[in-house]
Amino acid sequence: MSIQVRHVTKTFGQYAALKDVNLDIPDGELVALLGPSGSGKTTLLRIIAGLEVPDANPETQILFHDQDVAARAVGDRRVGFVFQHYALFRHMSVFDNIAFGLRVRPRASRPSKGDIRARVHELLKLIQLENLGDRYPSELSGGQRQRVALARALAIEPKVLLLDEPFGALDAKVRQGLRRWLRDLHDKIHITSVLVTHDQEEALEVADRVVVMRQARIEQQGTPEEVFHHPASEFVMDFLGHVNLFHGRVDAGRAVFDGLAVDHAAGDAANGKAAKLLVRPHELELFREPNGNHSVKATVTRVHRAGPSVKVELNGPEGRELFVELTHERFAQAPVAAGDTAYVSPRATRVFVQDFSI
Amino acid sequence: MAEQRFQLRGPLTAATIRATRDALAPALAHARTAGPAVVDLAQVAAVDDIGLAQIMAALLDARAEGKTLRVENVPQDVLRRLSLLDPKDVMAAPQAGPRAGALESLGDGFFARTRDGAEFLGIVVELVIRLVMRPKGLRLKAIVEQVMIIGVGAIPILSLIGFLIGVIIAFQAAYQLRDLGANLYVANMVGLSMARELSPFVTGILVAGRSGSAIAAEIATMKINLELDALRTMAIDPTSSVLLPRVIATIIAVPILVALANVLGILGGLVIAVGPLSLSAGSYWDQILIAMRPNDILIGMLKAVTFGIVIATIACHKGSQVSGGSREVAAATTAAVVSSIFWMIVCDAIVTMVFFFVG
Repeated sequence: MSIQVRHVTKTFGQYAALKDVNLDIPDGELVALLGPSGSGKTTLLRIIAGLEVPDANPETQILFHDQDVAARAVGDRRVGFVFQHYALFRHMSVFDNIAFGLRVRPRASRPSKGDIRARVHELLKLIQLENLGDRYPSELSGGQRQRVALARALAIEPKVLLLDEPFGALDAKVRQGLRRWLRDLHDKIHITSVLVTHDQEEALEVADRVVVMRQARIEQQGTPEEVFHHPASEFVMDFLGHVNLFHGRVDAGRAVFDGLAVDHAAGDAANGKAAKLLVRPHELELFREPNGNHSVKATVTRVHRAGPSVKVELNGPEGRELFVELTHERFAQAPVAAGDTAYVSPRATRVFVQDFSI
Repeated sequence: MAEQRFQLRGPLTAATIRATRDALAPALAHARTAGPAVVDLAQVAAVDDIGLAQIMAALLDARAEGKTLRVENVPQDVLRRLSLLDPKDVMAAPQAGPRAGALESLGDGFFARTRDGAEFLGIVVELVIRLVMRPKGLRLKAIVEQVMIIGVGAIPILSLIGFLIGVIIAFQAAYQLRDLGANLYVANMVGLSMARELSPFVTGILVAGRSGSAIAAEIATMKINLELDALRTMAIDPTSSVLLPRVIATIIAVPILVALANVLGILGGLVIAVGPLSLSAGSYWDQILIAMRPNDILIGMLKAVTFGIVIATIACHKGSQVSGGSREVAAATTAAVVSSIFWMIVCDAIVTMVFFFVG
């Protein structure tokens, strides 16, 4: 089922959580709402679910499969909601938790006891906890609890699955496993899903589409590749991973930054304007000697060699910190140690001109 | 009115604390009595934090009295130091705000209770309307479960309390009646006090402390844990499925407990009557039957039902009002107990007075 959000604004007292947000989610997609805390992503999710009511406005619409559900109560929207802290019913066993949504249906639409049992077992199998149906939530690990919460949300056969930072409370290793599992699950059942997260890695890895939010608005949306490789703004680029920042100025089709110059065909309108150069750590090269290219001279402060790549921290011009990420092979060709002088030059760059972006 | 300038000289430091105060005194006195005063620091050699504190104290005094006192030619380093101080960044104000005077807190308490009362009436009305509309989430099983927890669970402790209260009343009554040679009337005293007043009241307090707090804490935890939201996403109304069963169960449980307390209180009285007071069990029992009319029991039951409503609705209300962190759970629990005991006493007084005049 597709979801459309039209002109949604939400204020809590003086605080605006959402400002005229519009969002289209096609049927069967897994969309991630990504943003720092306070950007409004959870509020948007709760409004889609019906747990929160948007500010009154005749233009506001929330469409499920082209039908306006804004007036419908949360229970009538057929949404499965997974909460960050699981929100499992503590006095019920895993089995009862999952079965609960079915058991409380009015008699007319309630499945038979046998059907409910079959459905719960099917879900227990899906979440790979077949033998733990009799346990209580407090006897499970965080990852297991979150899977139970997911099964509980899926039990009512929702049209839409909404996940509010589902892996936020779990440790890194479990989170990675669950992330992959969620993606597999989505490929299997193809339910329209919205995932709220502040973890950019999670969003980029799991989602079909990423919606980056900032200060109650949507900053950019697109496929993970689009937003990662073609960020619409400095904020998006910075939020999606570490960046090195250089300040400079646009001058006659070039942007000049502390010894670096980058072609920048922005037209004369941008001439003289302040510009920022953003380079990801893996897009920087490190040389022992200046090699004729534009480069920045810096002092190596630290080298991290543990891990899949070598991370070098440097102290650049004006005491600015620089981060360079190299493959082990590349590093072996020109090894540096703390205290060495090195030259940093970018392979790929993005220039953001003040009040202007390319 | 012209400004009077006061020139300060020399260092304003910890070493010159008294001199600084003496130097500031005339400026403050002028501001108080004559008119605007200006303290000039142009000729001051050094100002340390102690000196600064003294100046600030004088400024605050003047401001508190609505007088004009200004400081001019403040040295750059002092200004820089002051600009570093944004107390909001590093220090938090006390959460409770300024401490209220005794009378003020009395008034606050009164209004808080009155507001509670209004909200409480609103909830009772809402619950009644919901009940009449036959809510679909309300299940008999949930009510029975709660009756077991609230009612059956309280039986041992309540039996003991009821028995002991009967013993106490018997002794208290005998203490006064024995001089009149009217020991037999201990039975009247025990029977009537238990049925009309003490059983409902003691049961009410016990249930408020035992179950009211538990209900408030449970609902508050569910709210914080988003379990109530989880219910709503499954098309279950938390009011019908979580709050109503507890309210109904409490209303069922309290009168039953009161009846039990009545029986055990009378038994307690019997033990004292037969033992220290040397009455026969038969005459005690006959006297109980003479003294107690059905109305006495019914008034007690009316109170019991009222207390049940008060305890459960206040507990549900305080629990579901919680927002934010788990620290509020404790506050909600306390508020539920205090508030329900207060309103029980108010209702008790009303019922008692009405029946004193009515019958």
